[in-house]
Amino acid sequence: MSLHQLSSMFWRRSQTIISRTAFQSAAVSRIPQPLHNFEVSGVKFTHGSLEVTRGKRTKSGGSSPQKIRLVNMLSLIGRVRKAPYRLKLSYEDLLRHRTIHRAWQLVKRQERESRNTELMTQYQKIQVACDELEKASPELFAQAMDKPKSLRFPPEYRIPTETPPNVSWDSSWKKATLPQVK
Amino acid sequence: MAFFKPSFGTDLRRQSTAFFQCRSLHSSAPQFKSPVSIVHPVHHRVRYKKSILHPKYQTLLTIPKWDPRSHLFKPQAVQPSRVKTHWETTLAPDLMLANYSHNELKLRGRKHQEWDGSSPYHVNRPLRSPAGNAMATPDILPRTFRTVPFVTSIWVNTFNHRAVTEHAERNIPSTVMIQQITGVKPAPAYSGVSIMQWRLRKERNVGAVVEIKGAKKDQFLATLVEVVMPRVKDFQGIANSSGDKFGNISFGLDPEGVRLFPEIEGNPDLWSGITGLNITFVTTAQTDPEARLLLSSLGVPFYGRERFHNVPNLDGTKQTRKKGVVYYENSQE
Repeated sequence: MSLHQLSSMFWRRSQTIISRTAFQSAAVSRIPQPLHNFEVSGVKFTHGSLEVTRGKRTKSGGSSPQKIRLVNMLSLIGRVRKAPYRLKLSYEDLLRHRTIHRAWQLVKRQERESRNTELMTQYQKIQVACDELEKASPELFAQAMDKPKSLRFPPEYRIPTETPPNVSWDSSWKKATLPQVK
Repeated sequence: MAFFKPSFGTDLRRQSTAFFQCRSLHSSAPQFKSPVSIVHPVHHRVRYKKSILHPKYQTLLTIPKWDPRSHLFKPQAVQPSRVKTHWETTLAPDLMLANYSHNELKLRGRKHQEWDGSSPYHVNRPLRSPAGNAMATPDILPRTFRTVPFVTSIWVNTFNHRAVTEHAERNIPSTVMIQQITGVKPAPAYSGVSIMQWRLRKERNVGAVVEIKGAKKDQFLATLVEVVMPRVKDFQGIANSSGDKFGNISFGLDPEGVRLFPEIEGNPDLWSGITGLNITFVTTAQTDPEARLLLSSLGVPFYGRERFHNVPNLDGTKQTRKKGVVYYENSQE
């Protein structure tokens, strides 16, 4: 398909989008009066830019860059099928897919269960430690239970990246001070 | 297989009671009618796609989602999520320890109350509203290894005023903008109220909304925290007073902040009318301070005086709640 054919195909498609949205307004070429004059970053929008009048010439002078941009955007959020076509796999390939899928599910399940078990163990250890501290020294236990009402992680705390940073160690680092606003 | 869609202006409660009222000679009878007649022959007043009942579509129901033959198949584990991995390995134990309070009991929320039955009119009367509050609140469960908070989803929505004042087409760039930023297909957002000063009327399409889940949520969160927030001018963080009392934190981004997303920044000339974003973090935290702690662990800064609503006592002392008021062990006297 040549570029000309492609562009003409797209043009036809955009015309259908236009005419679909402006079907009713095409019969009565009604242009609503502007409420305000908005100038948006150098682009002056006119009212009803997607509305076309039936019988108007479209080959030259009918389209503006703003209109084409809006039509392009409409094609991005339209209802047309975005998913790729269904895979056609042979029976052996389907079996392979199912085997790998089940194995991967099993791995994920084992990881999840081991994580939950570890977390549960940690929780039980916290409980046991608190109980023993309460028996040993009620004063220390009361101090340990006294925690601030609002807790925050330090502002320098980061989600780890998969690669090391460019600067491995910043020796001139100082603790950040956030502006306190009342 | 029919899709029942209640028409606008009708109450769902009315539709459920329509079985008792559909046969009536009264002039107001049609508005109580069910959309489906219940007497043979059955006529649907609601349109539905009859083609979906075709036998050739029956196999679609039996194919599971993970099968590539299914129309719902989507490749799942295509990339690791470092936010999720970070939460699983590091944050979950830390948050469990930070939120821990010893021998904690379940704190019952404010619920709708029974009438005492002193009056015969109490029979079948709707339940009394919760004490001290018009809204029922959920129970606060003890903070254990099962209730470690995490971010379930992020809601992003935008409001485009020019869709009201100029033309409804002004929604298109906003909708595409949200789709490009989040990678999720947006749904139209409609105005809930009519405000005369804004020339805004009810149920008008004035923006777009998405709910981001899964890997895209983690990607959006990482982008927001690492790319956008540090470069927003005079950005102090999310206000500590933000939150809906039940662990969901919201904040807003200006159009200048939205321009800092890489998808917008890469081609700024393409985007003529950028609107701001309202972003809500939906978490499983039971109170707002816990949700803020979770978000701060992911790198979200907070500022200002903190607001404590619906927060149980953190001292570990015994507490009870009677008629919406929390009584601690010391304050019982």
